[in-house]
Amino acid sequence: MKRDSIRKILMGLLLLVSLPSSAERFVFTTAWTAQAQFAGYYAAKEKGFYQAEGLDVVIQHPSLTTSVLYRLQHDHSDAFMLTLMSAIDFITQGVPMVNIFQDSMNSSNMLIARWGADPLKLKGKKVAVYSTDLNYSVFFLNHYKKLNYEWVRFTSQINLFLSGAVDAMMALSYNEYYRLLQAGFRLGKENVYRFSEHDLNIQEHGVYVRPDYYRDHKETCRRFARATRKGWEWAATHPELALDIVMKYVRKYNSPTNRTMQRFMLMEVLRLQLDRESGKREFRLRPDMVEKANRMMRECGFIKRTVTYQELMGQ
Amino acid sequence: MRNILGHIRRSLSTRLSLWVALIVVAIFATVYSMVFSELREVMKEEAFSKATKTLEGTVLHIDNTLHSVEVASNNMLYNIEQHLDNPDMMFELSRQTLKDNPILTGCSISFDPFYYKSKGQYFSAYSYNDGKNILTEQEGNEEYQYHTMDWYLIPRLLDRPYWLEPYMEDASVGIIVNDIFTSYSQPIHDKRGKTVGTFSVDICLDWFSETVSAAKPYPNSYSILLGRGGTFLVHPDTTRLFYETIFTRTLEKPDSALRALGNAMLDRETGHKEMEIDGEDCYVFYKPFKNTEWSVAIICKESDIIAPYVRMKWAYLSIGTIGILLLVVFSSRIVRKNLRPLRHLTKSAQRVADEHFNGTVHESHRIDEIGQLESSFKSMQQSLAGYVGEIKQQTETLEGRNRELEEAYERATQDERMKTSVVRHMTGQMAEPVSLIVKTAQVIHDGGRQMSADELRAKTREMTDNTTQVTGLLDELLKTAQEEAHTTKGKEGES
Repeated sequence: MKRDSIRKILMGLLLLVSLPSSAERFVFTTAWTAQAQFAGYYAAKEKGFYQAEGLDVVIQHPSLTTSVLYRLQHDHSDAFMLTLMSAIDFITQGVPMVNIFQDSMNSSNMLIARWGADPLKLKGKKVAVYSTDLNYSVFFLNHYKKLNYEWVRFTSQINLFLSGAVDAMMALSYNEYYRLLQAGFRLGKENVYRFSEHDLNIQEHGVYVRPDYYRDHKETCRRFARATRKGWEWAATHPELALDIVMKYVRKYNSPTNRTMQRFMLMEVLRLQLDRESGKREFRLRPDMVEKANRMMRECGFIKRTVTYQELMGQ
Repeated sequence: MRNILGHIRRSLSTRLSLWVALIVVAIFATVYSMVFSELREVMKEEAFSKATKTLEGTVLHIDNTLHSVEVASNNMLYNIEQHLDNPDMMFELSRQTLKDNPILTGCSISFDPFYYKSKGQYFSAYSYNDGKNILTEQEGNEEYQYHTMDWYLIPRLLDRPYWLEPYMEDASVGIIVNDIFTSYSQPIHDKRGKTVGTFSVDICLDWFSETVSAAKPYPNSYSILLGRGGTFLVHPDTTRLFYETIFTRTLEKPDSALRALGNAMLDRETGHKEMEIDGEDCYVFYKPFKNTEWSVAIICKESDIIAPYVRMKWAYLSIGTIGILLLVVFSSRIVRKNLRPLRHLTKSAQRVADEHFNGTVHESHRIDEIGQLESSFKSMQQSLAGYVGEIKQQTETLEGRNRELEEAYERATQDERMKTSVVRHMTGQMAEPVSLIVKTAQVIHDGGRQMSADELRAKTREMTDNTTQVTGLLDELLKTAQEEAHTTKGKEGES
């Protein structure tokens, strides 16, 4: 009995010694509550890809009742997940950010109308948009098509749409769209405006850090990007195992979802990661999309100056 | 099997019993199927009525409670709108609402950004009843931006009271509430009718769960409560609560029945549906609430509903089967007992067939058809015995006569043979004179002209003598024949 105890203590010590003692702590805040949108990050952590890169990555999920800008200003995370357009907006507002990893290659934005209507025929009607992370594309659409929508900023979920308090809502093709289907809505093509299909295809989420952090931790950022990419590639080839990991996080953070929804989400997120031209998962920010995003945001008055690709990449 | 069939073929009693059993089974099957079909319908109707009453009771109970919440909220709203000029009083009104209505767990009186300039962008007087104390705070801030939340937005946008879908707060500061609750929210208007904020009271979902789950008309039945989007607000499988809707599983595996049920419930219909749930046939009874747009359903397994029917059916079937078996056994015995005289008669008949006409016929002293058959058989046996005796006598007589006839025939044959020899003998005796006559006649014919008269006379005499001899023989033969004819006639006449 005594020998057994000594052996166990020795083995424990050996295990401690074998762990990388110099694992660098890296705190990363996702864009939303735990869900399959972050499957690659979860996979990289759970499969030890971060650890292999000498990183101790802490994945945080934000409170949905605070804005992204508030989080950027008050959160002590090293990295944040932002859409390209949000990043451009914040940079022009004096909160510089550097893109260290890009997981979205396409826009997931959708404008969905109630009452079987065509969203582009709802002039002057109430349209719900997220309060925490603005859907800039819909503002551009409103400006460009002179739709004169009445904006209603909301926090999350589809209850506003369900109640009939709004005539249309902004949705993401991997999240609210499936939630609406799950709520029994029958959505035809005529009720859904997909931005990616109308020359408004702008890359969305990527991982950003502050420039000073980037300057001091370039190698850390590269290792994070390398491991994350590996995590996504693993998730793409092992979707059901990746879902198991996602559901572990979903349960841990009590996210109001289910495996079916998460499966749809993972498949759609993986689809959006494929570059339309190459058909590959490139995990890179495209200069042409940066340029297009700048143009759209300038046209509808969100920004007054252009944020260059180089600026976004910390060059 | 062959033995059984052989036995059935040989045994009249078994055949009769089986026929009786078959007819009884046919009659019982017809009657049973009619009665049980009717019974099943009656039981189903009763079950439907029971489930519907339970459902209606539950809905009424919840509707009444929700109505009392609405009334309390409406009364307090009047107070709030009367004291809009006193923002600090909102905290007291918020506390008072919870004090007066123990069923409520939370109450917030929230205002538009900068409605009270002195209070800034966020001003929401929130009270929470944790079961022991009522806690009150100003809940709005940068980390809890309530202006974009459903409970604040929806009643304002609709400009009417609204029951919210159950939710859990995501606040990380101030009073942390981990309950899942629903809110009755309504817009606050100023004296000019302008919407200036939202008044919201919260009721914990546990209360609904307990009330809805208590609706259990059958041991294995259970209830579900669906929110507006088909979300399971109450479900026995807690892993599906809030996270799944009634349509979730139909997205990956189409299920038209489940989808139809979901649509009917979301369309606020009242009714019932028969469908398969988790591999079992079930009846689902559903009804919407008056106050909210939610719908409650009671799921009853068919096996539960028809359990008394099945029990009764099996009891009746068992009794019927045992009864029929007993019927077969007893009727077989009775028939066999009644057919026993027939078996004796069979033996007697066999004896008769074996030409034993004097055996004793068994007497059962019955007066029914079998008794009559016995006496008839007995009479028949006696008659047969008499008749066979007579026949025997006649046969013997005939045989005697036969023998006599055979003897007579033998004699006649001998006579015939004798006659034939006599005729042959006489014919032989006539042959010489006839031959002499023929020769003499030939001589006379050939040489009569050259013969002298004496020779002719001598020849004529010779011919005459021979003719006389032949004639004498013929006369004698004729005489014998006539005598024989007389004798034969006499014998024929005698026979």
